[in-house]
This record gives sequence, structure tokens and C-alpha cells, in this order.
Amino acid sequence: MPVMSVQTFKERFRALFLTSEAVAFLVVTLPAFLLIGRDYLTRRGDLSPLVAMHLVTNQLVTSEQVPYVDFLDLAQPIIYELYRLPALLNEGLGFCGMPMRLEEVVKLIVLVLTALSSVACFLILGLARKSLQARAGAEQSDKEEEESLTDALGLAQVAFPLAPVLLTYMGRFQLGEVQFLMALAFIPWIAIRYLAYRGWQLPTFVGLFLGSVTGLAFSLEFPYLLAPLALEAVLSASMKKLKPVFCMDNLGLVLAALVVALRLYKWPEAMQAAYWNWIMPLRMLQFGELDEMIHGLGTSPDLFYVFYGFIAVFILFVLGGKRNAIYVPVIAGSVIGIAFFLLEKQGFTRDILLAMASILLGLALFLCDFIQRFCRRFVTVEGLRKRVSLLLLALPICAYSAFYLVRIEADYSEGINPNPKVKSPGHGDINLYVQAHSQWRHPVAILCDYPDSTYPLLFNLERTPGTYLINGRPIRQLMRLEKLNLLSGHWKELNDTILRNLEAEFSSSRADLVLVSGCYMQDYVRQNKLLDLLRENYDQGSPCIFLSDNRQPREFIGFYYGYDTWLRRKSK
Amino acid sequence: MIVLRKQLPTVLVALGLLLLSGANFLYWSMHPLAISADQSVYVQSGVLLLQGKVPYLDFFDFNPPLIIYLNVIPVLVARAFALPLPMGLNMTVMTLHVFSTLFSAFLLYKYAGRCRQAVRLVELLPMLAMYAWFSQTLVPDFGQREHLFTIAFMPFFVLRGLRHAGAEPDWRISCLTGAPAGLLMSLKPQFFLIWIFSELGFLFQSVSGDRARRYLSRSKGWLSPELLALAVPPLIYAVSFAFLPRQALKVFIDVALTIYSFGNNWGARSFMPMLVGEYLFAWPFYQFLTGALIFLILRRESIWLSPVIMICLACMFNYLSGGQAWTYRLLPFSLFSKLLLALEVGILLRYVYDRFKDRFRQTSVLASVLFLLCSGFLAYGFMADAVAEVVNAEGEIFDLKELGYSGSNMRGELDATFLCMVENSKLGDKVLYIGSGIRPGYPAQLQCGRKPGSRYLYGYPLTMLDQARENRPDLTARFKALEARIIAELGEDINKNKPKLVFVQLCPIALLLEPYHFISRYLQNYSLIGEVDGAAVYKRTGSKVDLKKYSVGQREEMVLQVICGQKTAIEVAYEKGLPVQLVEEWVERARSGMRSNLDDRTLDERGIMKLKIDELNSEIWQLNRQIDKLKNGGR
Repeated sequence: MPVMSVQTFKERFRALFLTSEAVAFLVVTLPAFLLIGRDYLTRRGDLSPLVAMHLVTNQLVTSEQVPYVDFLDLAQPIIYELYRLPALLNEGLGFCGMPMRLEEVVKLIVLVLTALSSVACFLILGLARKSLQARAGAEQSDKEEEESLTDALGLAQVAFPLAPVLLTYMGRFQLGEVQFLMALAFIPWIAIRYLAYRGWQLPTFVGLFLGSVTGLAFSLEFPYLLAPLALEAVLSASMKKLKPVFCMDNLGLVLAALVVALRLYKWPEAMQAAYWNWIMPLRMLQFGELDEMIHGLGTSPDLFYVFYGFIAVFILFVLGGKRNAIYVPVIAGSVIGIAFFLLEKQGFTRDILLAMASILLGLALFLCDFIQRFCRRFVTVEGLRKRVSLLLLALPICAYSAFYLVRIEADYSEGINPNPKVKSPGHGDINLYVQAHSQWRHPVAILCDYPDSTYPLLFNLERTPGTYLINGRPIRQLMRLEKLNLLSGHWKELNDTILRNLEAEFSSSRADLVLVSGCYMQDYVRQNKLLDLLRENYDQGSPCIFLSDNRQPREFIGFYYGYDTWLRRKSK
Repeated sequence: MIVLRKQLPTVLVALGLLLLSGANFLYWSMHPLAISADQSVYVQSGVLLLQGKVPYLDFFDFNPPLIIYLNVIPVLVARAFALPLPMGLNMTVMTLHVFSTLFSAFLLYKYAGRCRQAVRLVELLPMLAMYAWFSQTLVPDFGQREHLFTIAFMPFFVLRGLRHAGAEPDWRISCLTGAPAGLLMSLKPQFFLIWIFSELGFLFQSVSGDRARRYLSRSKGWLSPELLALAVPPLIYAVSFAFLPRQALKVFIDVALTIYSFGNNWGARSFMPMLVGEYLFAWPFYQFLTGALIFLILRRESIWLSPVIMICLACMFNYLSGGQAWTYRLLPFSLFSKLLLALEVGILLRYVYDRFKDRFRQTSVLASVLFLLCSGFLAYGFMADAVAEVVNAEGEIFDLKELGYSGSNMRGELDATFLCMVENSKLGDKVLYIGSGIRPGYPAQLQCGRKPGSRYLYGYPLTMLDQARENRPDLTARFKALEARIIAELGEDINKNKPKLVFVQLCPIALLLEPYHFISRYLQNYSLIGEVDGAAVYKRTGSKVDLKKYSVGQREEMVLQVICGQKTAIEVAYEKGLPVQLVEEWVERARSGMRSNLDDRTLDERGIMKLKIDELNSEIWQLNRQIDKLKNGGR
């Protein structure tokens, strides 16, 4: 397989920007990106929940707290390392006389990564196309196949850069989440691996670098490394080739994954022990049965539209996608994404972003393919054909952008000032309650079965977390184990640790305000006699609720119950 | 002999399919009362139809009438063979399934060799076996509309595949395949989507769509006999609506469809449980996703892959758009996901088979023997499980003699409501169950042969109306009027039919009935005898009696006076202020109890019955010896 020389790489790089695909990128993809970028940057308080949570936990880590030991969160250790970057960058910018809020820095990083993903797709596919065009000209053998591959790459060169941008619209309130970052890496990775199986390789160090980036992205959560591996297996089996597996791209992926895994051992031993005894088993437990609280109507977000998109793109592939092998890894990506969503067994939008990205990529490919065929058939003049193609591409993208911008506006408003369909008389919104009953930079403890009601609330209001349970999800699993008489060994140890910490927090009135969500969390507090401690040290306040119709940006799982509130006694 | 040897693989395969598809005959014969709620209502509707009752007018149901018409068949089968009604349904469906499996195999056997494009039996055999196996795993959803649809659709799908591959099946066979498919497709409109998707999958086989163009431009016309036959039943069915009495049609449209469209989401689950609520939901999705990945690899290897995966996508769409986490709605998706995997296994087996067949002449015989062994093993497994289940439940059985049938059923699978109905009423009595769902009123009522006490076989419309009010508060007045109408009709039916028992579910039905003073208005002649399965049980006693006031001792005293001849039942009833029929019932129960307990015995009742069985078995053994002697002596 030929590996491109650096000189050739540079020449073709320059030639890329003189093509119609470049025009499409500049005229369609870029404006769409700028629009959503502007929307993202100009709004405040809409960081995605786990991004906000990780920024808060980073502050804890910076103040010498040890993850899992001093606070319980379910993130992989690499997250704590990566989330140092926004804080460092924020400091650096301040130092350079360009102070920005941390939220803005994070948003900028996300947008830059999105742009890089899009540009990377454009460049990789463009360079590959140029190489293959040059090769087709030089060698007569397999000319027809080379030409059809070149056409396919032309198609891909428009669709692939578009996909990350389309994802930012559909997953607007999940930007920066783990699966979003994976999706940004996955889209160019599909292109890279596809090209490898079609006989084109990136220069060695570029391949190694992009492989490492992908490996890092998929190491952000366990067991998502299976995604690129599954993709590789499908490509290898469908193209009936094994040699492309052994390349620099994959080596970079594997090395990055190894480095991430080994980085665990630089953390304190207590954290390592907690990781292997608690965090990984909790993660494995999550893949088991669906939590009983996610059974009734409205207890998980409604994501039918993603599945309908998946069905649509699969149908298009079956009916018309066989002619172009590039659809194979794209469809594989959507299947893998759906599989991971089912595995997560929660139902949040952030769990389906990988599938969303592949589905949008597939739809973009089909759209471009359709436009190309339509223009070839009905527009005979070459110059006019390109303009018509561009117009036909721009129209649906504009419509898509407009639709989502309107929807984002409505969703954002609902996030700030919720007015759900199901009314809860006597229950104010949790955001207003926390704001009214706590003080800036003071600790607030929100005990809930999922983190979405707590973050980005605490981050936006700049309250510090007042409890060991940064993420209360483990309580549900421990309660279930107790019901099955399996709360022993390391599970009992974890439960005891949580109880010990909660007892200490309530006894010492660590938090200004304690909110306990109904019903399971309240049951847990009651059963473990923590309610008495709360009564001793806190006064009960009026209930509040995480007002929501269970859609972005206010998603939840479980029953729509309110929070019991406890205010620290003034005498303390 | 040579012909037999040539046909041996076919015979062995057919035998294997027969064994596998019919394995659960034993199970259903050992569970004569086993039936699920929905199916029991359909069967009951079939009974009522045969009695001349008009759907929607004389008995209410949400469903379009086709399922009612079709359930006349199992009722007739049950009557013809003196079977309990549930068994009639199960045996009918089993027979249809066996026929469907063997017919599909026959179509492949007859026409596979006549296709323009190779149709390899070895590739399709795992798919057929999986189809045969799948029905054996169904218990609660056995006989559901989705199940019936798949039974009719499978041979049709096979025939269409053969047609697309270039075969020209006989028009009679085509009609025989198309008509039932069209009929069962008419059960639900979304079933047509499954067929359409499969057609698209066949048409768009080739990369350039040549097949589609070729097929559609055939000079003979692309409307083959099976497609014409497919269209006939839906047309007839559509026309049949015009023959329903106007009043009945009015009830169907104004009441049934209204309640269904606005209150359908009662009992609905959220999105995640629909996908992974429990393994019954999750596994079909995992199987489909695995099959989908393998499809990407093998997509060019078989003409059947695209249609099967298109069917899976249609089934997934139907399931998700239904918005309900019910296993029967997932049934077609579950089946075809498995068929997809089985087909992919078949493709891989084809490679192996082709490798061997050139080296060994007897490969086909060996393969068919292996197939028979595997099918037989699986069939044996089902049968052994069925036997073990009954053997392990030794003693815990319900004798069907009480229902006028021979045999028994495991007591554990009968609801407490069933036992209550049997205990407190007689065969042929009418019973009314007003509950939020169909179960446990049905299947209990059908199982114990108690007639419906009202046109409303279940109280589901009330809970759906309550949900409808929540969904559309602007239409509250309309739903309230419907609710009042249904409750008034329930009361009217109680007064007219005088059911022996009325069950009123405590929550939420009792709360919904409270504003209408239902108990005091319509159950004045009923006394509360207790609660079972979350419902209050009211027995017709002539007038309302607080039965709790009368202890067993007090009843004994009253009954003894009658049995000893000191007083008549009427005198006792008058003296104590009780309904006569109540006193008479107590006397009858006391007499029956006395008879069974006055017999001399060394063991308890169960022990005595076991002794009896041993005696009878010994007698049978003796008789069999005599028969053998006579046979041997005869030679």
C-alpha cells in the first residue's frame, strides 16, 4: 500500500482548496458551523450536565482531593486529567490579558475540536481523492474502479465535514459530553479506515497522531474502545482484507489506549483500589438490568426520533447504498452507537450521540449522493451542474439549521424558565430554590439518582458540592444489591463509605442546604437513619422540584418527584 | 430403493421440521387451560359470535372485528374435539404453525431448483428451523394477532422470494399462500408495511436496481397470482364493514375508536423499557444489531438478506411507533431478528457444505441426519421440559372434571380469580369482572366456563377514559358522557343478566365508580364475600348481606336446623333476615362437605386419590399383559 510522501502531501494540500468540494465546505458547512458556534458562545448557563460536573470535580482535584476517595464520581481517571486543560487555558488567557469565563473557554475548546474534526475530514478525503486521481491517470489497470472510488470520495468530502456540524445542532445541549468527543474523533476515523482498506494511507506520523487522538477519545469511557475495534472487524470482513489492520493509525489508537490505562497508576493507591473495587464494578452493574425506576411513562427522555433516523438511514443503505462501499462503515457506526446506547441503560441524549453522529453522516452522504445523481441526470452543463448541486445542498442544510435554531431557542428558554406540562403545585423550581437559600461559593448538597438536576446548576450558581456523592447514581445500584442480599464485600465497603461520609456531612452541617430527591434517595436516607441526623442539624424547608418535560436541556430518569429540602440551622 | 435414497435427505429434513414445529403439542395438551388475557377475550368473542351476538352491540371490544371472526375457528375445533376452549385455540394455532413450516419447506423444495438465481436449501434451512423453533418459545403471546400474522406471512414470504428469484409457482399454490397472508395482514394495517418492506428488499437486490426495473417491466405483468390473492381478503374485509349493523358500527367508531385513540397510552411505559425493560425486550434488539453488523459483511451473499433485514426494520418501526412496551408487539421483530441471524448462519454453513459436497458424495445425507438430530434434540428438550414442569407440580393440580372436561391443569398457573369463580359459582353462571386491564377477569372467566355478565367483557374502557381526560382536558365533557354511558350500561347488564359474581377492582376502578354510587345503585342484591387479586368480590345473595357478621359457628347452627329437619331454609332465612338463596347455598355446601368427610379413610383425600391411581395402574398393567398374551397366542 502506498504511503504518501511529505512533499506530495504538501502539493496536494494546496491543490485541495481549488475544488468544488472546497467551495461546498466554505459555502455550506462553514456558515452552518459559524451559526451554531455563535449560538453556543452567546448563551450562558447551558453547559451540558456532565461537562459542568467535571469542571466542578476538577476544582476539587486541584484542591488536593482524591477522586473516588474524597468524592464519588463515576468518570474514568483520564477525565480528571483532561479537565485540567480548560482551567489551565483559562489561567493562561487571563495571564495574557484576555480573561474569559471558564464556561466560555470550555465552549471555545469544544467548538475548536468540532472545527478540527470537520476540517480533518475535508483534508483527509481531499488528499486521498487527489492521490487516487493521480494514480488513476498514471495506471490503466482498474481504472473504472478508481474512478468510482474517486467519485465516492468526492461525495464523502462534502458529507463528512458536514456531519460534525450537523451533530452540534441536534446534540446542542450535549456539546462536550464524552460521546460527543468520541463522535468528533469517530467521523474522521471512519474516513481514515475506509481509505486504508481502499489502498490509501496517511503519512506515518499523521496516521499515528490521528490514531492516538481517536484512541484517547474512545478511552474516555469504558468500554467504548470496542467501537473502533468493531468497526475494524466489519471493514476487514466486508473488504476481505487483513493487512490494513496493521497500520500506524491502529498502532496510534492502541498506544493511546495503553497510555490512558497506565496513567491510572500515577494516581494514589487508594484511588486505584477504589477504581478497581468500586468504579469498574459499578460500571459493569449498569449494563445489567434496567433500573426499575425507569419503567413508568415519562421516566426517560423520548428519543424515538433517533431510532427513526437509524431506520431511515438503514433502509436507504439497503435500497441504494450498496453501490458505494463507504456506506458500510457509516452504517456500522450507527449500529455500534445504538448498541452502546442500549448498553448504557439510562436513556439520556448524551448516551446516543455516537449513533446520532453516524446517522447524520449517513443521511448527509445519501443527500449528497442524491443531489449528485439528480444533477448528473437533469443538468447537463458542467458549470451549472456544480452551482445547482451547491444550491440543492445548501437548501436542506439551511432548513435543518433554521429548524434546530428555533428549537434550541425554545429549549434554552425552557431550561432557564421551565414551564412543564405536568404542573406541581406547591413545588418551586430547584434552580430558584438553591439560588434563594444558599450563598455564593458555599456548599450545597443535592442527593439525587442522576446528576442532571445538580449540574450545571451548581456550576452556574458557583456553589461548591457539599457532599461526597457528586454523582448519586450508585445509590440505586446499592439499594438493588441490598434487596437481592448481595450487599457484601466491596459493595458493603462502598456503602459504608458513603454512609460514613453522609453521616459526617450531616452531623457537621457541612452544606448550607441539603436537597434529597424522592423517592429512592429519601428511602435510602430514611432506612440508614440519616433522616434523624438531618433533623438534628437542619430545618426542613418547603419542597422543590426539577421542573421538566424530560427533554433537553432538562433530562431526568425516574419518577417525577420533588425534593425534600433541609436548611442549616441558623444557630450553627 | 434408489428413489428412497435420493429422497432421504428431504424426508429427514421434513421429519426434523415436523418434530421441531410440533414439539409443543405435548406442552399445550398438558396445559389445557393455558391462555393469555387478550387471546381469551378473542376466543370469548368467537363464542358470542357463534351465539348470534353482534360485535360492539351485544359485546364491546376495541379491536376491529376480523380477530373476532377468526376466533370462531378455534371455538369450533374445541367443540368438535370436546376440548376446553383455551386448548382449542392452542391446538388450532399449533396445527397452523406446523402446516406453515412444512408448507414453506415444501415451496422451497418444489421451486428452489427452478429459479433463475440459485436458491440454496442449505442456506435457508437454519432460517426455517429457527422459524419452527420460535413458536415453541412462545407461551404468553401464543395465538396473538402478531403470531397469527407471522404464521401466514412466512410461506408467503418464501414464495415471493422464489418468485423474485425467477420461479413460476403454480397459481393454485400461489393463491393458497397469498390469501391467508392477505387475511392475516388485515388484522392490523401496519402488517402491510412489513410486506411492502420485504418487497422493496427483494426488488433492490442488485446494485444498480436492475432487478427492480426488470421485474416491474415484465411483459406478463408484475401482479402475480399470490399478490392478487393477497388483495382479496382485505377487500372483502373492508366491504364487510358495510354489513355490520349501523348501530354496531356507530359504537365501534364513536365509542371504541374514540376511547382507544385518546386513552391508548394508559399503562404505557417510557422509551427505555420499550428497548431494554427486561431480557424479553432487550434480546431481540441485541440480536438485530448483531445481525445488522453481519449483514454489512455478507450483504451480497444471498438474495434473502436484504428482504429479511428490511422486514426487521419495518417491525422495529411498527413496534416503536406503537409506543407500548408489550412483548406481543415486539413479536415480529423478535422473530425476524432471529431469522436474520439464522440466515447468516445458513450462509456460512453453505460455504462449509460446498467445501464438503465435492469431496463426499453423501454430504447431503449426512447434513440432513445432523439436522434431524439437532431438531430432534431441541424438540425433545421442549417436551422434556413440559413433562418435568407437570411432574414437579405433583399434587398441585386442578381437576378439569369440575369444568366438565377430563384431565387436569397445574394449579399454579391459574389465577386466584379463577379459583374464586369456580368456588363461588357453577358452570354456566354469569360473571362480571370490572378491572383496569383484561387480566385477571379474562382469562379466568373463559377458563372456568363462566358466561359474561355484561356486554363489557372487561373494564379497560373506564381506565382509558380516565387517561383520555388527562391527555385532553379540553374534551373532558365528552369523555365524562362516555364514562357515564358505560357505567349505566354495566348497571343495566347487571340488572338484566343477574351475574352470580361481580368483581370490582379496588384501585383504580372502585374510585372511578364511586362518583356514580355504583355499588349502592346496582349491587343491592349482592353481598361482599371478600377480596381476591386486588378486587372486591360480590356474590348475588338476593339482597345485600354483611356476611362478616355471620361466623362459621352461626352458619353451622342455621344449617344444622335445616339438615335435621327442624326448620326449612325459608323459615331460617326469614328468622335471621337473610336471603333464602344464601341459606340454601350454605346448606348445599354443608351437605357436600359432609358427604366427602363421612367416608371411612386411612389417609387424607390426596393420599386416597394416589392409592386409587396406583390401583388403576396395576389394573392397566394386568390388562396389557393379557393383551400381549392374546397377541402372542394369536400368531
